[in-house]
Amino acid sequence: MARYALIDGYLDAMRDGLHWRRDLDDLVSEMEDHLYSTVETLCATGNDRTVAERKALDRFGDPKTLAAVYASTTNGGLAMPTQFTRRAGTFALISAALIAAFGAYWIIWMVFLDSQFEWEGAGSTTYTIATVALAVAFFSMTFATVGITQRTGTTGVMPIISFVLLGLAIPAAMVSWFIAGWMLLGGLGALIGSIVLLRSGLGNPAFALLYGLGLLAGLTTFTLLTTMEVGRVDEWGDYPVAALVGIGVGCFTTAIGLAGIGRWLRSENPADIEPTPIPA
Amino acid sequence: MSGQALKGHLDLLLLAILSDGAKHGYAVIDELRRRSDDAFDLPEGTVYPALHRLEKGGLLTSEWTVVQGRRRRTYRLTDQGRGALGEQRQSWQLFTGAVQSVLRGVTWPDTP
Repeated sequence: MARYALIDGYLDAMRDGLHWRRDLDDLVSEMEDHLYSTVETLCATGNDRTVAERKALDRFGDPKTLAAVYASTTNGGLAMPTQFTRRAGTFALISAALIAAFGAYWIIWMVFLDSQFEWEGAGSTTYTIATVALAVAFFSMTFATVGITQRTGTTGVMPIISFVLLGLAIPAAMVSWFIAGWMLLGGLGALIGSIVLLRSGLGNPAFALLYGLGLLAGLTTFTLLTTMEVGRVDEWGDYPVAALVGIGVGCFTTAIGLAGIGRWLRSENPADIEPTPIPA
Repeated sequence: MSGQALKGHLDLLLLAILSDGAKHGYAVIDELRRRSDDAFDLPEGTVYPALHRLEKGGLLTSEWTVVQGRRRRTYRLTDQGRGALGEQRQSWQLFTGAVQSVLRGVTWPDTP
């Protein structure tokens, strides 16, 4: 098979530009076949070989334009991160860190400080900081949701519902002792966000599942342990063990999922097209 | 005519071209150019993502062969694609009929 220097250089450039596509070899093979076929046709009609190569590349399109087209996923999303989705990824990472810190605070409080807790002074201050951290975590999660929507190219009502539920979880988090409130709103918002992600086929589904199910799993655990009356009852009639385990499960599971989603939003991990097997 | 004018209609054109039988990408684009008499100024490379999208949507299937030492992907319309082509063709005819009626100043569908 004859080789064409200009076209081979172009294909190398495309290979570099599309290195993030899992179906890279298929894409480049298809471009190669097209460009070589064009050159052969042009040469057969009397064009000089180099001129034919130039014409073929000119007709095929500017590499930057093509890279932008190929950066769209098949459902209209962005296989490559943009400045916004990178920022949304950062918000997801911030949210993951805050929600994990809130979970850790709650566990430390329940295990070590509950018996000595007083609303005056340091106890009140740390509780307020933790509560604000939880609210900021949900605030950051709303930005992450917009990033997920953009990157997956999802339109319609689902992302809006997810965004609204996470938005409502922000004020609910300000009364963080009311676990059923913020966990239910945040959990439903995260679940819908994760369904958007899973349906797109993009990103790591394990992280999407952890994100989507984390808070609801925590709430279910909390409700079950409370119903089963596990552990002692505190002065407010609550079951500290149920809160400890429920918040622990919910916060840490969600944080792991969010961290994975945040990394994906910032990364160049693509692509939604599986490579096609090479014929025997 | 700018390739931008094709936006939203490229899928219909590709399905129509493939309704005559399986073709590889170069042949599809060549046929598009021939039938339109070179009317669309479209970077040829941008047609491939559209073919991939149609395949992902189940409207086309593709298979690889080796021709003259090169890997070649050939696209074929599926039954679902044939159905979609019929629907899109009908929608297009309704649309263009209505537009032409407006341009001619007569009430659609009572076009002469």
